[in-house]
Amino acid sequence: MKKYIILALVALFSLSSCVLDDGTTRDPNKANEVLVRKVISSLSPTLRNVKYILYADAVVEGRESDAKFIKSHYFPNATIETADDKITITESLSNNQSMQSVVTTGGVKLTEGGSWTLEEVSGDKTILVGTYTGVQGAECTFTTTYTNGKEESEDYSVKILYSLVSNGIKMKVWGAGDMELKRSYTMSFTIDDNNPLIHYYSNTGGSRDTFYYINYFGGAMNIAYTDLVDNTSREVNILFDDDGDHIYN
Amino acid sequence: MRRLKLLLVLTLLLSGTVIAQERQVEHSEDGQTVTVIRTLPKRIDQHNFRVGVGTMSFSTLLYHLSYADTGGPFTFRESVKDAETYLTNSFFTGVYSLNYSYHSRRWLQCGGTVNFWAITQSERDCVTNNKVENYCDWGMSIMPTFRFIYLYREKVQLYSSISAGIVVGNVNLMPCIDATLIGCSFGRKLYGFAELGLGTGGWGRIGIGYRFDSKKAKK
Repeated sequence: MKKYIILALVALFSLSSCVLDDGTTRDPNKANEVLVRKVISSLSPTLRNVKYILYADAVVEGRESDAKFIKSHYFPNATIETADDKITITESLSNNQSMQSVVTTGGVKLTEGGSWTLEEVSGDKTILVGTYTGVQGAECTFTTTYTNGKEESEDYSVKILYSLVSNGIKMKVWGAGDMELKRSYTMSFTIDDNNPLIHYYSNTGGSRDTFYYINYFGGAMNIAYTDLVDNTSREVNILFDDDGDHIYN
Repeated sequence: MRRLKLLLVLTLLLSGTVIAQERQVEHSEDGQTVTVIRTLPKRIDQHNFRVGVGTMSFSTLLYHLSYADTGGPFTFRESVKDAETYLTNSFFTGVYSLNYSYHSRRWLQCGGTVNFWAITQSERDCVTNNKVENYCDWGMSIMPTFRFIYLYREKVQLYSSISAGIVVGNVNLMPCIDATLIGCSFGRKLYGFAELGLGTGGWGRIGIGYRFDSKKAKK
């Protein structure tokens, strides 16, 4: 009799309990991936703004073929207004609105040591995107400071060595940047000049920038993150390889 | 049609009182056929204790879904924190039940049932695999129970039951209902049972029980 009772109890437990739901996957690099994507998603659009500087530089220097190449690749349907001290590039957006990118040259060429600014004008809103010095083939400096006026800010100062290639713009990028959301987190990245990021900006259409996360082929980046709420820190070193993949170390 | 259905239900419920006799044909040694009529008692007067376990049911799942997850992560910082850990499988313990009923008339048992269940899950660090937090959603239903015996024999009983009460737990306080659509117990004093049901007890339940005469029955 006892045997049957024990068998019944074992059957009770084995039949009643079960796995209700699968959990999530354990990935030791998942948090690192979140950090890297955040930096790349902020850095890439910043770097791609260099196309307006490239275009303005080609126009100012009289390099028509370069100007035509850049316009056809990145903003083929844009209208261009040229003045002595600025060049305005107006593009139509998908929501029937337009966006103006204004390169203010101040009448001084980059080859003469000029320092140009790039602004984005949308409606009655003007945002200073960045300040640019340097020329193609030489080490250029692009600094950009963004703040939403409240608690979020980004501050980058990167150097770019860029060149026009058959499918777009190839850039070597190094420098540093900081990001902050007050009372939430701070994050900084550094890219060593001995191992700069290699970024290909290729766009065959006229649409606004899309996020090409995979277009980094080489180089290394260090990211340091601090959680201001929990007072914890995290650091990640990332290496990009020639195939566009990346690993952490 | 409605009247026919009602008549069928009443017949099933009261069959214990109506079919109060058991006829058995026996043969005596001299070859004569004798029909023995055994009359089943109208009153039983026994205490019944049961312990069992059941499967998950829609109502137990609904109870836990009623506590809505707020969703997220909504900010970048929350995304980083979320990515630092992972969740293990969530595990349902089964519905464990405890029941007491008093078998008064042959066709009726009255008592109470307590069911308990839990869903457990852990959160672990992605790098070290150390446990960061344990999550446990539990519920307990407390209900009076009425069991209707429509086939009563010494070793076998067929029955249905209905219970209604409340569910308490770390989620919400809610009303609940439970019904045994059909159940069968087999055994004399120590018995086993198996049931198909709806409600907080689970759709399938099995267990063991013990019954003994009350003082009233011994008199």
